[in-house]
Amino acid sequence: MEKKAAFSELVVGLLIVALGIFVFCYSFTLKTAETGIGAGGYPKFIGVVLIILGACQTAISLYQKVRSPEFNVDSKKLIKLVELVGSMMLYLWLLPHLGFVIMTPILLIVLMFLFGIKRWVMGLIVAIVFTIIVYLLFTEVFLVFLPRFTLF
Amino acid sequence: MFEYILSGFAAVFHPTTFVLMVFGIIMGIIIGAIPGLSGSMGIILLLPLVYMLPSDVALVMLCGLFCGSMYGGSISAVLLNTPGTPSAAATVLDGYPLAQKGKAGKAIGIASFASFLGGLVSTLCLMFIAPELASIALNFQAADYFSLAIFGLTIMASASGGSMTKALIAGAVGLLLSAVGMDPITGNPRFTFGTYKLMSGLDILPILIGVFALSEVMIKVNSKNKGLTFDDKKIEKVVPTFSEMKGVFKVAIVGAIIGVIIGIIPGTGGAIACFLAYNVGKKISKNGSKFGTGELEGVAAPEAANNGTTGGALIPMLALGIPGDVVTSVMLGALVLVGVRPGPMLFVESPDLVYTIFSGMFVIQFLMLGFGFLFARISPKILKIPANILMPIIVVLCMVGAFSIGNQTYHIWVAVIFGVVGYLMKKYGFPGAPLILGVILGPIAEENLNRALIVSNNDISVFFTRPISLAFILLSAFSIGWTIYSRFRKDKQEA
Repeated sequence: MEKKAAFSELVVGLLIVALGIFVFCYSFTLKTAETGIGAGGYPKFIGVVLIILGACQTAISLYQKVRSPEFNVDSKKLIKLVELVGSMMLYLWLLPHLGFVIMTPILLIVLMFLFGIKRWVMGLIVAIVFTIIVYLLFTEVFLVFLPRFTLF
Repeated sequence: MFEYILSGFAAVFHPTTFVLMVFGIIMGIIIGAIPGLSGSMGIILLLPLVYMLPSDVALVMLCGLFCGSMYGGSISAVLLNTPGTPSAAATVLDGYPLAQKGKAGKAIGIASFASFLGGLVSTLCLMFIAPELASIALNFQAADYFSLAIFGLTIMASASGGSMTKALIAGAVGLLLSAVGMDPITGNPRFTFGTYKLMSGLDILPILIGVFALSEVMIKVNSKNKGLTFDDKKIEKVVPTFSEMKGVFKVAIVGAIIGVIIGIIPGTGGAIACFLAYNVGKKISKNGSKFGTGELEGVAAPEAANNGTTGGALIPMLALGIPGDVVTSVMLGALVLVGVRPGPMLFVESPDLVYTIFSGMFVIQFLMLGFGFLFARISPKILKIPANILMPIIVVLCMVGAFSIGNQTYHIWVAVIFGVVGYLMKKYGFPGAPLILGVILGPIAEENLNRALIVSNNDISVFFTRPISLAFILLSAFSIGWTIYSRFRKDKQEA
């Protein structure tokens, strides 16, 4: 059977070329030096490398004949991923205001739900006990002062 | 040298170091035994602790974790027919049939013994080869270092398994990430886009956490639990008899040597070594035809090989600053974090630290043998930790680890962003290790590229006229050329 490259392979190749061009152009805005590479020499080198590699990736995908674009995304999987990343971001946004001790058990329970926990009581106990242990360990032993409640 | 070795042993037997070394081994065995968790993730989870420790203690603990995780992978390979780490993939072939015959304890016991032999051989090689390699590397000049950095990236890309172009792109993006922040030559901001937090550059730790740990959790959220089960039978007769040890000795030693050689080659690792050793073991063993049906030698060969890679992978990491595999690239990131810059100068400036690692590796092998026998009995309980509790805990530990870098949520944001980047990389076949290596080698490459051009008055022929530099460039070209040729040949055979 003939091997065919996914459409995304072509897109990735072109994106890398675009990134390389951006880095190469950006490097001209940086200071140059009479001897040595100056501030822009190294990014210029990386930009050229990215353009070459991106072009190779594009060429490989074209050589393998790109399949026509397919948009059959597994919505269930995507939703679960968005929920996971979204819950982490929401946690990070609220963490400086509500503090580690309040936010962490909530995050743990949400994540356990996403990973399909069935034994809820055990999950709740683990979430609370684990949060307390981590909080005490980091603040008392490692002297890392985790965020505290600061709303009032 | 003898004096340094003695002081190394004294440092290892200091109560704090010893306790943390044991802790590292135990954590390594547990992490290695749980399918889906690897040595690199184990190091990431221990980073907040690493940050608080003196460099020698931290290093010995990480070495314990590295060796422990290599052995731990064999436990689930034997009991669940699923390797805990990719390095134990070949152990499944004979380990699981042994478990089905009711000899799970024996299989794990032989895995412990072979791991011990592999680790011991690799430690001896580490002790003798690394200082020699470092003394050669002391003659390196700026052009040689630049070419070495390029060689490190290309060889890791060639050995990464999937598409070499994608691996090289990942390495180049890593180099680009290392350029973010204040330019070390003129002090001007680069790629900061007016964000003052980016002025100091991107820390390696949140990138490590994101690419290697959080991305794994993102993948796991959509992977269905395959319902791994193990008959909760008692694991008995773990300690092998003298005749059993004698029977596997030959293949274990050969496996260990293969492991060391594979470990030294940057970018390779236990996964390649274990299969190679298994195949060689099959050929040299009298019972080769029975391999795959539950032969103790079939467990010993890959297990000696994957532990053989540990010391082997540490050789280029310590002597040249080029990691031998994924775990040592994460370890390198952790070392940079505690202010240790591996490379030939480490052997001149901190010989005590280097010999503490050597002595630590030596002691770790003996401790691992004991803990291996001990953990075999309680291993079914470790394997019962459900993923739906474990994964959320890993997320929180990653976040706390990222926070502890500078007591800022900014670093957690960076880790989460790189988690998404790492997830997309895995989804589209881009390996994470070259990216991390690019971030680590970027500053070395830039500094030495600049220095070489200043010395040569902007004459780029300096990279081709210095023999060492030329050798690295030729090796890089050869590794790329060979990979392209072998893929082309494979495609032609398949067509």
